[in-house]
Amino acid sequence: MSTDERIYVGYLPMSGRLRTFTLIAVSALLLAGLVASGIVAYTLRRSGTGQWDTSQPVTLSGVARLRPYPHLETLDGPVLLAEPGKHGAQGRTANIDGHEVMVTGTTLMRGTLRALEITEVSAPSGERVGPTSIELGADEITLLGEILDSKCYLGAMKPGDGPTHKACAILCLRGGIAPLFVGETEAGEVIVAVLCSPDGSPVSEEIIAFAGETVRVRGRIGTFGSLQVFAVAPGALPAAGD
Amino acid sequence: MSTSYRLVQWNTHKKVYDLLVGLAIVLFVSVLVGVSIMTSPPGESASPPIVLMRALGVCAIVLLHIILAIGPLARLSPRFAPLLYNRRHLGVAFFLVAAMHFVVAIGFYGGFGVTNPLLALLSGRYRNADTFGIPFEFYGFAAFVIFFLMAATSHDFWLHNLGPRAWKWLHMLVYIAYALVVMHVAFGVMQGQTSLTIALIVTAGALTICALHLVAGFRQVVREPKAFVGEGWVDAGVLSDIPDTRARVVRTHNNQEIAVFRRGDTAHAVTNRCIHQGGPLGEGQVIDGCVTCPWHGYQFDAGTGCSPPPFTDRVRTYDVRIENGRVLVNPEPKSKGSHEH
Ligand code: FES
Repeated sequence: MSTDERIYVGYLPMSGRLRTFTLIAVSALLLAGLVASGIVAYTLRRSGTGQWDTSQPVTLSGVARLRPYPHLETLDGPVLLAEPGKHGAQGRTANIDGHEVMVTGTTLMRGTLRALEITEVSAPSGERVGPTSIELGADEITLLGEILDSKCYLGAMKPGDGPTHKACAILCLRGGIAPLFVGETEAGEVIVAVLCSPDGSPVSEEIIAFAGETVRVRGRIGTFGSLQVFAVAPGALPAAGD
Repeated sequence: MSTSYRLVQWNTHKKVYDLLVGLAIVLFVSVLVGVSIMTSPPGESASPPIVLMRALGVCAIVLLHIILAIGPLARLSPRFAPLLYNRRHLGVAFFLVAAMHFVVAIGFYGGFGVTNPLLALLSGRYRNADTFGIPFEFYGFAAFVIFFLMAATSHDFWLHNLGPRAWKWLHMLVYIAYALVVMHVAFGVMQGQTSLTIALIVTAGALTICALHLVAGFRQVVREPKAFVGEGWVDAGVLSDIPDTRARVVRTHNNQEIAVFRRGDTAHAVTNRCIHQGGPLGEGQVIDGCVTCPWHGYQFDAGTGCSPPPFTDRVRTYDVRIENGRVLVNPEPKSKGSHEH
């Protein structure tokens, strides 16, 4: 601006040249910002293939199991159970453990693993089916991966993993949602298993605190009924893995 | 320059400015939401609240960069002054966007659980050594608290009640808040990425802000004339060297800055510090007989230093005399400013 021009004063009209300049400057700032954020939005890591079908409730029948985490043993394999919000279904499954029931809810699914967010549970029918026990492989192995909460990972929250999701994962796990371990063996085999203690009970709060981080965990792969589990001794804390 | 406090002293510029800012924010968030959804493979798009939270976060960070760039840009060229003029409104708009980001994040990540949503987020990472054991959410929250204080005290009411110095200090905290925002991103979303793009963009943004401040600061140091130091009357140089209606700034032996304005064949001297927010009066101009501040247009009669009625503000004035075409200024103030007794 040459000195014979008037300085800019907010409450007085702008000169034509200044107006043009301002327009160009504002458009340039806006464009730069938009391009930068467009790139950010585009490059953000993918959110995973989990799906939560909230449009249609389904009703499944099977045997309810409280341990290691609430799930339903159906003819098509295990279905994890969760309450609405970040709460596990321990309350509702405690009384029906081992009984045949019908559970209505909305389906969360990723790969072959399924869960239901419960809306309704029928009265138990028939005799109590004998307890299932945990069966673990003989050898301890080390897995590299992440401790996640099953509900978010299966589609309730996308992305439902990684450091930005850590606080939410811990909240879900403390609320009783089943933890998953998603990782790889040293040979590169991908494992998705429910995390539990070697006696088939839930994992400790100390282990939950590692959720959302990439960790190395020693434990034994096994099954609890039809549910695939990864059993970690309460004292075997994960180590940072990179 | 107000005799009473009005919520905002509206004028056309402010209205146009606010309208454009509002539109730009809506456009921005919509484009980001659109890009996120459209570029994801079917079924793999992030949850809607997360898409919205990210768009709001990115929009807030872009606004923050613009806000921080305007100051040095306006110092580098007066042509950026129209952007500076209403920066406070931009600041408040930024705060509202950041607040929405905050609310969505707290609600979605911290809500629906067994503990208080805020605590759930802030206590998440206590055991993790690699980020000082501090959850990344904490940095965002700390920055948000600062932004809240700034937005809450952005009105002139607070400026007057806290005093320009304290107010300016409070608002300088924006740089600390900016650093906290960078940490929030660096320890948060950046950690979960496999590509370096976000890290590069954040670094480029931070470097731009630093470079602009350094260049503007350096130019100011180099440009300042203020050579005319001495006891007694200060020589402000040849009158005809000062462009008509504009000023030259001199510094006295006791480190006061005086803006010496030329009006045709006469000169007037007032303090270089505007009583409003300390704007550089010497970069202003005499308009309708009044020294007009370049920052928000407060006006002071060139001779008496008083704001035209109904305003009651006053800036310090100094005696001047012209000898052999040179302007001499008496460093002893002739009249005092509003808050001096
Ligand atoms: S600093 Fe605001 S008008 Fe001078």
